[in-house]
Parts: sequence; C-alpha cells; structure tokens
Amino acid sequence: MNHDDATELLALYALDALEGDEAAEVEAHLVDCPRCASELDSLRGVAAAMGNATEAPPAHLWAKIAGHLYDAPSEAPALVKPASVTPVRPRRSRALIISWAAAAALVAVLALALGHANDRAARLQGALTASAKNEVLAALVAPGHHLVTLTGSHHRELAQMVTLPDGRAYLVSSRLPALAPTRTYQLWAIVAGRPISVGLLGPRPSLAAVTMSGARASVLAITDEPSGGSVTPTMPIVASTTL
Amino acid sequence: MDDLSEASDPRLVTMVARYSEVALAEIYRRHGGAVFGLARRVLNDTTDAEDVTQEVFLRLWNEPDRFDPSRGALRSFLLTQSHARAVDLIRSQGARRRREAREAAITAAATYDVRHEAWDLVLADEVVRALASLPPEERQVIELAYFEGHSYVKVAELLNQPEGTVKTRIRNGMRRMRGALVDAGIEGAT
Ligand SMILES: [Zn+2]
Repeated sequence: MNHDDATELLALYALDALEGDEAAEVEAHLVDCPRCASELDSLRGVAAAMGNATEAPPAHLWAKIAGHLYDAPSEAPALVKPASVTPVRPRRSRALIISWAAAAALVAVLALALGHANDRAARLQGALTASAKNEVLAALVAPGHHLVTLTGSHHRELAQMVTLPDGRAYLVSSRLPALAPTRTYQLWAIVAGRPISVGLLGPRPSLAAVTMSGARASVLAITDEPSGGSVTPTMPIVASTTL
Repeated sequence: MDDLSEASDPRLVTMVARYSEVALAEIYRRHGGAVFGLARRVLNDTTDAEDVTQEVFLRLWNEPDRFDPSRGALRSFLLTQSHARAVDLIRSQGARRRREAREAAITAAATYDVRHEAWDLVLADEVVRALASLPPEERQVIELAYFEGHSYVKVAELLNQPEGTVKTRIRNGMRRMRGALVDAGIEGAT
C-alpha cells in the first residue's frame, strides 16, 4: 500500500473500523512511514477523547487483575491473539513462577518487589487468607490511600505500608532483616509526640494488617523488641517515616 | 514519604517495567475507570468489559515497553487498547449474538438518542460540543463505527450507503473533530 492509499484509511484504522486485509496493509505501511504513524497517533488521540468517559469499575475487578500478575503467559486469559511483540524485558524464569505458585498467593503478589522471593520463612509468616489478600489489594487502589516507605539508616528502604483515611494500615512489603525467634518487630505511631503501639509484626515480617484509630500519627516507626512486645519503644528505631 | 499519586504516568510505567505492583495499582486507580467505561459502552456488557479491562492491564504489566510516552498520553494508549479489544470481542461469534439483539432494538427505534443522553452525562463539554458541531451524516458514521464497534463496510450496509461515501465521511468527520478539539484546547485524552 502506498502512502496516499494509507492516508485515506488512517482515520478508519484509528476507529478500529477496518477489517482483515485492509487493516493488515495499513499496519505494514505504518512500519516504514513515520508521517502516517504520527498522523495515526494524533487520530487515536481524537478517538480516545471521544471514548474518554470514566465509569466506576466493579469493586472486585482490581483484585482479580492483581491475582493474575504472576500467571505464566499461557495461563493469562486472552480474548484475542497476542500481538507478536518481542519482549524487551527478560521474562521471569519458569522455576521462579512455579515456586511462587506454590507459595502463599498474597506474598507472591506483593512481596516480590522487595526481593523476598527466596525467603521461605517470610512467605510462611505472611501466608494470610484469601480475603485478607483481597483487602490488601483493595487498599492499594482505595480512595485517599497513601503509600509510605519506611527507611532505616543510610536511607535504606526497609518496608512499605499503605494507610487508609479510616485508620487501617497494611504492611505490603518488607526488607526488614529476620530477627531471632525470641524477638519481634513492633510498629509504633507517634501521636502528639508520644509513641503508641500499633501492633507486633513478628520476627520475619512480610505482610500485616493493623489499625491506627484515634488521633493522627505524625510518624510511623518500627523497633526490635522482645517477642511479647514492649510498652515503650526500645531504641534505636529500625525504620521510620514521617506522615 | 513516597507518594505515588504525585508520580507522572510515564514514571509509573517505568516502575511497572521493574515489576512494581503498587505502580500498576496507581495506574489502575487513575485510568481503570476510563478503560472499563469505554469497553462497557462498546460491548454493552459488564462481564465482557471486565475481561477487556483485565486484559489491557495485564498487557501493560507484561509488556510495558509498548507504551511510548512520545506518542501520546497513557490514557489514550490504554483507551486505544480497550477499544481494539472490545471491537475484536464484539466481532467474534459469541458477543455478536448479544449485540445483534440490541442492534435490532436500535434499528427499530431508528434513533441514536439513547446513547447521546448517556454521553451528555459523562463526556467533557468540549468533546460533546465538537461532536455536535459535525455534520449529522459524519457524526452518525463515526458513532456507529466507534461506539458500536462496526467496520466501515458494516456501517455502509446498515445505512445503505456506498462504502466510499462512508469512508470519506469518517475521514472528514475525524479531521473536523480534531480541529474542533484543538480549537477547544484538547489534543487528546489525558
Ligand atoms: Zn505514509
């Protein structure tokens, strides 16, 4: 297809109004013609403006999507044939996918980012129920949520939490070093200059749900305490963030 | 403090390329409603629209390099994919049957006003105005193609017009739309 013929069809292509051969011919021309490619981008912008009407998706949809993130490509639901695009990014190794499938689904979805893939103990620690998993996933897209990173010495990022306006908070990923079984990490909220215990995270935290009711905290902090927890935080603070 | 709600769309996609689930969640929070809304409008079916939305976001997760920020806004990119998938689905056998029942109703009523009422509620004023400024015969073919998911050949058949006429009307209408949107200060969905 030559340039003039393609130009005639770009608007139809942008609306997905071409079928079969004609669509394929336009696609073939686009590969070699930056002018047509750029015109198509512009026309697609027009189409998108027409179709740009936000509608609240069903509440469960995000959790459903998140649950498929680590499917092997062949397991992913596909309505249409995938385009033949060469992945630039290296694929996850098959072995990793299998080991994750065997692990608790919650950790599989959320903890990978912080590199806990091989920390079996952390996975077991974080094996929450499916409903708790959905709660954490829902928090990541809830209105007014905040994602905060708790850092330790040398600004090392040690944990991430999502806080919601109603006081619920979730530890969504952790790089905190494992403690001895007789110890536990404890989460504190500093409210009006005073530390208030929010909850115990265990010696190998991965995921946790806590509630911070009442007054607004200015700081979240994590300390290393005896396994039963402490009434006041033991210094030094392992990781913290200002809210 | 690491507040992703401040991060730009291209920055979030870069994070997705490094397998950041929270970045994908933030993209979904920003654009999930638009992706779902367009799919549902074309498909007229919530379950099918969910499937399309899921596929669009999983594809972004698996192939983030397909988004090129120099070629347009992330929302345009996602809406383009949502539309293409919705159209593929509607042209496939299963969805076609449902669609045909609805088509019959629309044809019987001989009007597209039902759809327009819904638009008024949700589209930006400028987009509505731009569409309204089109000659009716151009607006009609664009709407049948884009919102009903018909190929131009099918549009010609439905309207009993020559294919060449439909082609020309879509082409001219889209250029006119673009002119109107540019005049209104909108270059595309953001
Ligand atoms: Zn060309």
